[in-house]
Amino acid sequence: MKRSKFNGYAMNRRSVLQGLGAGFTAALASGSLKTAHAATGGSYAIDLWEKTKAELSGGSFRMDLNLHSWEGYTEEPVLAPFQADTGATVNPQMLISDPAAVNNLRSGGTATWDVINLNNAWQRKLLYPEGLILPLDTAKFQPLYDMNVAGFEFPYNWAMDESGEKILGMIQRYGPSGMAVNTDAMSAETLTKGGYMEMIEGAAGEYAILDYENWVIMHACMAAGFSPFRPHTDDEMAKYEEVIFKIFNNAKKVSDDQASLARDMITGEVMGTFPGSVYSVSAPRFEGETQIACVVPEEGIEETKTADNPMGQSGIIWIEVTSLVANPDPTPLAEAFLVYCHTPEASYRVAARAPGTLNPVVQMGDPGILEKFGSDELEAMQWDELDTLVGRCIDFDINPDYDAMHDLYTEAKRSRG
Amino acid sequence: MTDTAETLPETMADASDGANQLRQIPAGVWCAAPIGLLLLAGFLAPLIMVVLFSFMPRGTFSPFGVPTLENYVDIFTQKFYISFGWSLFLALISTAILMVVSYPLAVAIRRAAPRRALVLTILIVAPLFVAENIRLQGWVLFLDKAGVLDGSVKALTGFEIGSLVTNVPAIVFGIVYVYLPFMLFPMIMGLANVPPDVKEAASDLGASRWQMFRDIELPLAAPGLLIGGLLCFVISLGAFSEAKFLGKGVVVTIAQDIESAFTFGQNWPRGSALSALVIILAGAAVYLAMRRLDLEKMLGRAS
Repeated sequence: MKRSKFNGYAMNRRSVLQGLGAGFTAALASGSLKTAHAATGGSYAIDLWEKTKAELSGGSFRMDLNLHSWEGYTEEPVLAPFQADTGATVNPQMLISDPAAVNNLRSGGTATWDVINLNNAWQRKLLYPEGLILPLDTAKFQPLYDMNVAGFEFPYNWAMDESGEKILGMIQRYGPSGMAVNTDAMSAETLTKGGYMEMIEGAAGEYAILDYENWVIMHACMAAGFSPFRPHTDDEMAKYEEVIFKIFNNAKKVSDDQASLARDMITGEVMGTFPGSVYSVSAPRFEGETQIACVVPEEGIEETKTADNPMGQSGIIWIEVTSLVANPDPTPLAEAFLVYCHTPEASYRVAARAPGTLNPVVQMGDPGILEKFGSDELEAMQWDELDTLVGRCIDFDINPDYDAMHDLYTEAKRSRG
Repeated sequence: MTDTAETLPETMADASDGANQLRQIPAGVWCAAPIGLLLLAGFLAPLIMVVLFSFMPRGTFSPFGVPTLENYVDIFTQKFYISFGWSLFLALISTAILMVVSYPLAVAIRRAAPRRALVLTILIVAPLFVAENIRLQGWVLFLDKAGVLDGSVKALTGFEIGSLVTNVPAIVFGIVYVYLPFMLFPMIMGLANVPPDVKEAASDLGASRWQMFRDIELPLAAPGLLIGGLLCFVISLGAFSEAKFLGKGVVVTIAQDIESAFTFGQNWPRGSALSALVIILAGAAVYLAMRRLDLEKMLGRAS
């Protein structure tokens, strides 16, 4: 199944999960829930990992694995079992931003890194065309996609090359992004119906900016009424300038510390954050602060409205793709790490054991993996409404006007002082 | 006696000449070579790279392209003066406060008995063993709404203080707190240049405490004050974490702009141009201050 850029996901995922409803957990507990390919995928992952370990045990190769990744993969709960099973030494370095990592590879980082984990779009549009990452063995990795939740099956667009024939990486963590709100201060319904301007104008002086710079820019475009992921007209740039200045002028504070902002929402210091995502609210929710939630506006930008989806889409969904770097001195540990991450226990740890955030993984389509999550963890990830939130999102992509928009972003930020 | 060059083969004669030339290099040069090489690789080379990058066009990730002035033009047209202005203001005000706060402390440590002075020094140095960001986050937890201070006051009195961060004074407080040792220790060194018998003599001759401070202590301790002030000004100019954690976006410092250019902006040339301007600013401050300093005298080597 192929996803259309704007609305393919919503229909697929919604159609599957709608039928599950409130009885989902009960079904899990009784073991009666099965998906078409799940058992195959989960069993295959375990078998493949055992086979991979056996292959590694007989070989002679570089035993250090250099991993450049977002935080889901860089921590001890994920890395320790891999190191224990293989004898490898993993050297993880957490990303600062996707563009920084891309340019790291471009400026010679391929000699350093073995595995790179980035948000989607960079792999098929830049890294593979520039020879910075390697395609995966389709026969080996394609069956692992059978575990995935609907909408992320093989061939998943962002994990494939432009021809659709080569797998450029494995997908795992994902999440919708819109705004975060303390629903005690403003109801989720108000924000859902009111859209971004309900916060930017309606709650002026009461919200914070979660300052992941590229995400602020992307959501400012959505708030301005157009997709950030295509070339923009002069009028659209002028509209973006107006909105980004308004966002900064009306914000109470600006911080890239999502934990600190979550605390501010809990204490009532701010009512919400722009932008905000399941990624940024899951940790406080896991601590029982379930009044903090990610909200994606109901009505989207005009260009996403279709006959099938008349409300369009207003948020942005990200999904991380983990790829093999074209390192001139490769190690089979890199491919082994990708296999390992698909075992049920590793998938669970990638999702729920990252520092300061819990995020769904596409492998939760496999009942064997989903059952590892407690109800508090699913609640933290807003699992029950995830389908709706994701359905309101367009896919993360590359912004062709990013440089000019970033200039305006920094200018708007400085204008606060 | 036979000339070696006539009797030895040509290659051996060359080697002998080379060894002689090496022996003629003064011992001081040999001793300075390791630090010289370190500075060359660790200080000068990055500096040259920054300057080269600052003249590269946007989107360049090599310092050897066709040079351009566009980064400097952009800096002047895109209101970066706001960040420079805030950084300068924060550095100046923090340095002034540090001088006022550190001076009495420095005098107290100088006058204290050795054991007490050691305890005071350890107490001041101890926080340096904890990462700056962690200490600043600690202050955020202490000063923020529902933090330790607000929570305690509310529990005791029912009165809510609210958040004491997200403002410029909080940033200044953070800079003063973090850089206190950098002002204090040069100041103590400066006060060591004030002989107690000179002050005693002035007192015997009827000088008031203010006259002793103004005409004796301050001029003699001035080198330490200037070095401390200079050190604090230069590092405060590049202050980043204080504005980020305690200011929470209330102002943007130039260090934050530089970080943004190198990371999310992926505009290394602009980040380099901003860095080059900060280096020029700091260099000018150092130059002006050093013109007033006599290092030989400070180090006690004046004839």
